[in-house]
Amino acid sequence: MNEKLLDAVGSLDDELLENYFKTKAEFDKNKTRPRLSLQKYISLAACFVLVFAVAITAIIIEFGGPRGGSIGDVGADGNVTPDTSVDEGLGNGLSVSPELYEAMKKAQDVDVLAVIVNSQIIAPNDFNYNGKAFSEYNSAYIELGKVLKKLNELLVDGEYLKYGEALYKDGAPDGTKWTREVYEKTVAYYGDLFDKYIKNGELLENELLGEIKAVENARAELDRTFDEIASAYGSIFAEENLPFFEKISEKAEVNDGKIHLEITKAELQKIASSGDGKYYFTLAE
Amino acid sequence: MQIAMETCASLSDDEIIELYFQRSESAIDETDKKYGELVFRIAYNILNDKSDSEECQNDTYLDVWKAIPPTRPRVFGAFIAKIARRISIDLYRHKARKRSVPSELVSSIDELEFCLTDEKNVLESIEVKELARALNTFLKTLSQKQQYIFISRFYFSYSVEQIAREMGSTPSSVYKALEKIKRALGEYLKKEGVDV
Repeated sequence: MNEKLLDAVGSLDDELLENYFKTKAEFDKNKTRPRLSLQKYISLAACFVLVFAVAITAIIIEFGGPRGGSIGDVGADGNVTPDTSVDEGLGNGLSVSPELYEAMKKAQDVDVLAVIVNSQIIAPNDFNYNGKAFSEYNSAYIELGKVLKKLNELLVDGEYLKYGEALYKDGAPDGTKWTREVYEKTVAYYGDLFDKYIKNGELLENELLGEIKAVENARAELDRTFDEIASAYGSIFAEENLPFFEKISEKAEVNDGKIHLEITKAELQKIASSGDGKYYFTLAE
Repeated sequence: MQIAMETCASLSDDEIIELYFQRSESAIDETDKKYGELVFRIAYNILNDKSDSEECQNDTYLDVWKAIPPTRPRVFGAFIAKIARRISIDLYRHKARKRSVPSELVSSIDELEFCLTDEKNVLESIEVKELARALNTFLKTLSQKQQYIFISRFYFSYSVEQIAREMGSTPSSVYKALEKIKRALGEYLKKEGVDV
């Protein structure tokens, strides 16, 4: 790890950190607000409890609750449920970006919003791209992450492991001494990497850095592939779902593989209760 | 673990700072209530160890206690986060000498370095202060969101997934934003390096 870089990053201006916390507070507010709206919604419902108790409760249970899965989680399949503004008061479970949430809050029911419809997921696990299922790309990405972590760890541990058994017998020149158990467990943990990068009492740092860079590049390449997959699946998703939006929007068309809508706030809110959680809406720029 | 910055029951920053000025020990309880998770998360991102992170949490509170008064921080969250990071990195360095600490800190700083490896000589020729100055100047040219992403990743060592979650975005778009920032930083430092 580059200590100079670490120290330099640690010397950020207070002003930048203060701005960071202001921005963070805004994000937190966006995440918190929906819950408050839900509480208000429930309170309001309670006012009418004598007349509509059973009906209102049923509606809340049916349409108001979270739609499966924790919001904002990265699933084991690598797909992401965006951490969206799920506001039962505003959107009845609609998944929207923070920017669209703000726009909806300001808009009247009849106001027309320019909106883009996205898929909640990059692609289904069985989506085939260039002869491979999406899940295979995803597993490869996770695996590369594990390798990268281990290689980076070896950069640090290697400085001691290079002393071999002397590390637990006599200790390293700087006085560091490991127990035999820790040494053996660490060597076993690195397995083949140990033999590959520690030779004749030396850590082959340049070679190790080279492999780290190669794995980084492979991950970056896969990341680009994810974008391609998202785009490929997104186009199919858009074509499949366009008919639904054509029926309810002022204007609905597919541009660059995405559904662009011009839709009133009221119509957009209706989608939430009729959709099945597969849509993620963002504000068109 | 999600960071919860605010709870309904927590005092305002000014009220907490006032407690420190009164030398009231409840200042630490209130700090913990409001910023405990944040401090723990900062430490954990760096140390990847629960008990070490808790130790850093306690040391952070102690340092805050010693610093206020006389210091009166403008933004208490930023003040405490900075202390927590410094203490966590000190402990990280101490432990890294003895034993490896698998940490998001290593991957984030290495990630930042890798964007500069083509200009490694430039990086090596710049002193820490000069690099810090250049970083600060560069960051101020970025948008609020870009600054947030950069600081989350490289200052607080949050994973890309955590940042995406915090922002209500997707990891893919955070990755893209990071790549763009790193490229721009690489170019900026290269330009600065010529003058150093």
